Amino acid sequence: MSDISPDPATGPERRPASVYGVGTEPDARFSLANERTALAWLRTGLALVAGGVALTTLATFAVAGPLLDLVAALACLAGGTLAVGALVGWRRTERALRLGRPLPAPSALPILVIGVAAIAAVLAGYAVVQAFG
Amino acid sequence: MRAVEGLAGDPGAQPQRTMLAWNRTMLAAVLGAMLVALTAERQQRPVIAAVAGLAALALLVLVLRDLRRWRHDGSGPWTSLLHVGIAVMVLAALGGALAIVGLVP
Repeated sequence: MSDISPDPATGPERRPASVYGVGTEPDARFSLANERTALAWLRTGLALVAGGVALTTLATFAVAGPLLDLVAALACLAGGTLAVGALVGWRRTERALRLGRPLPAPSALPILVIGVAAIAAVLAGYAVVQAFG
Repeated sequence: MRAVEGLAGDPGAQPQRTMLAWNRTMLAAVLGAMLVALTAERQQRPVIAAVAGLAALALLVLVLRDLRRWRHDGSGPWTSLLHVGIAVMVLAALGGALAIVGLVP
């Protein structure tokens, strides 16, 4: 079914053209799965931002306030970066699907790991200092 | 419900699952905006709180409009994804601003 011209039922030109202008229409299930993956990345970014904002509240009455604020800023930065990564990843995957190429690796994963690990390490250190300090 | 070509009897219920993923994401985004707004309010940063509240409202209106339009034409999810992505970036910027403002008493 790939040799037919684009049918008029699809309405106006689909954006972005860099994705929909190449290749052929993949199985709709793959496109929907790609969409859900991007949404899951966006929710992950939101969770990091929410954690960072919660940390700023803790920083207002904690002894190590500046340190916690620093980690909060890092968490928010990581969350925003994950949102960018979600959009970029969606485009790359959709292109690969349409061109029948192997799917790209999730490039946002290292950001997530570094962000979560940094927050966990600082909070663990903070808890130890609170308990024994 | 979004109409997807050729998935009428799909046993995997893909369109429904995608719609539910959208609902979860919207809920998370609005809750995140509320969290930022309430936290900023509590720390006496009315400007950040106001921007967060307005961002939540704008996001809701934009994306609900996007999701409604989906029923009528078969354009892809890109615009909606972009809108939610921008909302997450705005919330991240506001959270970062809260943290940095907290660093400077």
